[in-house]
Amino acid sequence: MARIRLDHRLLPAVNRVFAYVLLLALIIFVAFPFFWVITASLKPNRYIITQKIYLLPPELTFSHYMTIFRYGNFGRFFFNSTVVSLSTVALSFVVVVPAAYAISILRLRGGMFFSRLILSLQMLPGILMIVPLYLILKNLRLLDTYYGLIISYTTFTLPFCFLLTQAYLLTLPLELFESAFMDGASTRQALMRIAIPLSAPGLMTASVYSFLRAWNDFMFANTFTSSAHARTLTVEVSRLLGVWGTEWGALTAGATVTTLPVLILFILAQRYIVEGLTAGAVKG
Amino acid sequence: MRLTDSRALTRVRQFLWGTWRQGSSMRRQLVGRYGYLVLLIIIILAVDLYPFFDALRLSFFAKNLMNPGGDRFTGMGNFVRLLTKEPLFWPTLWNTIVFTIGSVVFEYLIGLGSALLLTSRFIPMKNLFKALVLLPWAVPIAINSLIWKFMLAPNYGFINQILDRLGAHDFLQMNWLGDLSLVMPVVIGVNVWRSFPFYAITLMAGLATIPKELYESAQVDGASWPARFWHITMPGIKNVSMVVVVLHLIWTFTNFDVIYLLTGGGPLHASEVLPTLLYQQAFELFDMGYASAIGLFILIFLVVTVGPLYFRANAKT
Repeated sequence: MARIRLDHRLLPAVNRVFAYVLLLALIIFVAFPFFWVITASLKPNRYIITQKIYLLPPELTFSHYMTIFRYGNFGRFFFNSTVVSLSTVALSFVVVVPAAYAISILRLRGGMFFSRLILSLQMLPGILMIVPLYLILKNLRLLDTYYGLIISYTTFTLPFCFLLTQAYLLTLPLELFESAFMDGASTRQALMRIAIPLSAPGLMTASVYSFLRAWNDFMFANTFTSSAHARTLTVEVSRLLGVWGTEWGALTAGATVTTLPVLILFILAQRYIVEGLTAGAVKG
Repeated sequence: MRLTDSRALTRVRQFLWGTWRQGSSMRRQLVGRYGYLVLLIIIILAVDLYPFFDALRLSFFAKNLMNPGGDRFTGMGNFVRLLTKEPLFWPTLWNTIVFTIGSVVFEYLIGLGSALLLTSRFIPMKNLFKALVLLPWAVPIAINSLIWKFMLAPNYGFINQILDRLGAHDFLQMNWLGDLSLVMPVVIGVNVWRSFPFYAITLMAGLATIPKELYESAQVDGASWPARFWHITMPGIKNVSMVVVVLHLIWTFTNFDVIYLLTGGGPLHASEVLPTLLYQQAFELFDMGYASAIGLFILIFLVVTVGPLYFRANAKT
């Protein structure tokens, strides 16, 4: 009897400790590689390539950052990534919002078919599109330009931005628009004054997503750029992998610089990222 | 048969007659409303549909950029070559399937475990940990792959050093990404690390939709926790699980970045998958026709295997 009572009191405590241990393991599993890379970027070379483990840099140095910005032209690549990603967001926004509005609020005939078509387009793998896109951009002389990258990014941002925006617009009460139309509002006014302001969180999610997808892309940028003219950060960092030996200091510094904007966006827009993710998967 | 036919015909007739009768102002308004779609339709035609049909066309042609002017129609030639003459085809297809299934299974298990842990009542500051766990997924795949290349480096890599300290075995020289039999598990491991956060976050959202009362009444009835898990938790997250798994089957099967940056398909094609095979044919050998045929094979394979699941998962939710 006594033992059973004891177990009852102890069990939650044991469970709690067990949960904390698991949580700690999960956090180390997720965060340690980032910690290791960021600290490596701040260590002098002799502490990076060594057979001793230095968890914290024994000596702090910013020389790797100086190297990649001064000799590696990283300012330029940072600029390229920023321009291309922001333009992709802007283009997707302008194209998708009116269309999603027309289909989900104005209930255009054929809207269902159109949504379904876009849903299928989302299944088209980028790896299949890369050959024709390369040939098209080559013929239009758009290889190694911002335009080429922006165009190729819209192949994947448009379908998912459309589906996300449409899902959000469908949650708005239709009566709102009906009464606006009764009062004589034009469809354009309803779009600008009702649909866009009310679906701001959804649009924010779509924008954050487009930005991340464009910023994070490697395959298209690696294939469609060939010089500092339009090359993006992800590609440039991967080029630091040497064939015979790698400058890990420069590479970890480059990786940190590429990750930093994502981290900042993450801190500022965490809610939208989590929301978009679950909206995409829970609502389809 | 005939009944539905005539019904459809009547509906078409009614629709045409109705639109016609509603007069020109209505027609003009209709055109105006479709105007909202014009930009999207044009761009989708230009960047999605045209390239898709171009890939379809290319796959029936011999087209090599190193041999300009040598383009010619070969019918099924590229596909026959892929399926019968390509020595790498079967090993590569097998690797792709192993990579996909292996990744998705472990991603789901770790993702579900994390979701259950992070929703448990013992964990404080849930939002902070949620964001932290999502991190590997939000960072560029290219950067993740490079991070792991650094972690797994022979001699000075962190993983080898830790294993060397922990065990008596000499792990320092271990070349994880250069070992014929280890390379696939390691590549899958890195991919799991990158992708499991997506499962964790979406499954957490799924768990949040299960009514608390279900658990309470089950507890009153004396159901053990495995029973509660099987009869309440799993059915409650069935639909979300389905969507996440189907999406990842597609994304993993077509994933290029992870393997290209970690191993480039090596050593000796031990980690070669269809996307890296396609990429080599297209951008190292410039065999655009053959590469398109590989791309089309990937698409057809996906449509046949997970296509029905994809549309069912989307229809359900």
